Amino acid sequence: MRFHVAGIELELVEDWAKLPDGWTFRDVCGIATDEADNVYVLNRSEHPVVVLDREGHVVGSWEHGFFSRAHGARRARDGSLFCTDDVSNVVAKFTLGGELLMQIGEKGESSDTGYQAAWDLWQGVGSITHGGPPFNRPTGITEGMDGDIYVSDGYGNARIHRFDSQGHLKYSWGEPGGRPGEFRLPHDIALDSMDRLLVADRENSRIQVFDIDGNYLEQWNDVVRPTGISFDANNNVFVSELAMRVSVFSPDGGLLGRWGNTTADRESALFHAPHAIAIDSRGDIYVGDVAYTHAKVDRGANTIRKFHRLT
Amino acid sequence: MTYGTGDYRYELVEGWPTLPEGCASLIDVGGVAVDANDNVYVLNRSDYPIIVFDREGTPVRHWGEGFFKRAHGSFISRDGSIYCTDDGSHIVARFDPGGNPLLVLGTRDKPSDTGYTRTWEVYQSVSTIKHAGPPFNRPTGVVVNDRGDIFVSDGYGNCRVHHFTSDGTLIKSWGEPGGWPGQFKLPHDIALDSKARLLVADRENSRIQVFDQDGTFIEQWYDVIRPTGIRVDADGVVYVSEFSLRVSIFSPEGQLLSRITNHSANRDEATFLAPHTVGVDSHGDIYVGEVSKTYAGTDKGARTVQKFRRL
Repeated sequence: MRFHVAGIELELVEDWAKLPDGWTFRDVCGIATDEADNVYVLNRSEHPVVVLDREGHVVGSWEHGFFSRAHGARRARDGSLFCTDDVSNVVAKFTLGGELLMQIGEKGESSDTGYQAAWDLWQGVGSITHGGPPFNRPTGITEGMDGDIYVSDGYGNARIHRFDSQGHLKYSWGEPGGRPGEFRLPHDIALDSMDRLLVADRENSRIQVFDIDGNYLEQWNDVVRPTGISFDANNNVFVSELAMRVSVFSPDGGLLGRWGNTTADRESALFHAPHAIAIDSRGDIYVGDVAYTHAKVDRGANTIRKFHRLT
Repeated sequence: MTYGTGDYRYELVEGWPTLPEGCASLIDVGGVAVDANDNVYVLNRSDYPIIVFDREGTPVRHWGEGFFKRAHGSFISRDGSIYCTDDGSHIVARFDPGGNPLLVLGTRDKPSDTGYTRTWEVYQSVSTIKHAGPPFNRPTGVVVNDRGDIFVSDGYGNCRVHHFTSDGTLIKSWGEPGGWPGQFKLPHDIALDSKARLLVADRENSRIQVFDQDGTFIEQWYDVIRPTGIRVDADGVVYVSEFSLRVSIFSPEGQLLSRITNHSANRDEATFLAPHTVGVDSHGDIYVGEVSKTYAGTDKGARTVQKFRRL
């Protein structure tokens, strides 16, 4: 299956991930790639990170029980891997082999924001009365040019936190709501080529753009429930959306194209709940679904999709 | 157990209403509208599409059998006519209080072209809308001004408000898909406020947009999450049902006055599963109807509509 998007041609690599018998990803919540184009798949199985080569062969996995519910992942500048865990309320930095290097937040401690977890997502989001300190179910993480760490927080908060490279909080911004600078489920954060922070403000269905000091710059409204943000070599912005698609924007926010499910048929659907996106050095694109949590289907190895860039 | 705060506090009226003989459940309640004599018209998805209850919850009459494919929204005009939308058959109809159809807008089962494709997932479906279209593609809400002009929010498969004369002639439409002012992502209900302005529940943009009757954007209210239904009482107070499982009450200027929420984070103890419509009578009592079967998979029987007595 091929997709012509934003002047590029993508081909779906059928059954890309080759998992050992009995393995599944359940949910693929975060994805990162390394210099050799190995793919680090943060997921919600017993193997929280599965490492695959670009052909989809498993070349490693983390087997520790650090995560309560893994959520987001991004490569650090020093080559290590940042991960968030929204249920145990921590963000952490690991070696690519899975050794813990740094942790921000104490497991099991959540800040006071008025948030009350409920069975219904929107009831939970609606219970947040004020922004709070780190963390209440943090979601995404990125690193500034100076090594400072930015965390989007989260299901139970409405803030972006800026830490120094050692994990000391510098400041935070954001309150619950729909105005500029307010958030309803900030779900991922990424640093663009112009040193700006893009925040996937999921339940406001927009990308908010800030400078690294937290000053609001603009918003991009042509998304529906954005979940993850990544960039290609041309600095174009790829956004995964729970509306079952990926949208591609120019660096200044102009829509270049989008692709996703091609039929209304659920069984054969390409996506069930796009949650994470990463692009390797060749421009190949990986999209992860939280299909099990969001749509109650276990898609096994196909919980992650690879799109090979032909042009 | 009381609900709400300040001057707008309520208690749930247990055992309201009593269903007519032969009607086992309301299934889903699309619209609740209250007439000048405080009779409550409950538009629902049982075999008894309109059931009229008195204040005590005793059924007075029922009508509309066989008329609706999927009843969605309702409004009672100054002359006592009942206007109902049917998003399943793409029409809006006016009835006299006894249920005789007086006017039908739209062509039954003929949706307009907007690029919309209905899938199993509501956000994916909303995202398929490429451009605005003429009336209708799954219309949702309706309101009528003092001259008898009809305004319709349209809808699941469109992104417009349409203005008709009292005899059903289309005068004007406005709206495009998107998140900017004047754009819509699932306009789900429409009301007239005490200043003769139109309030539109822009459900998947989580905001109330305010327009004059010519369609000029005036302002937006942000303190809602997935608003579904809007009513304005004789004092100009605005009641909004929300899919964040609550009802918010605003001053005529849009300041939050009170909020009726689930007391518990447990589903078993939920007062609300899917608030979809709200009605208010001359005593200030409010009626909240839910689409709990469609949205949450739970048949609440008679309690698909609940009465809250103002304290």
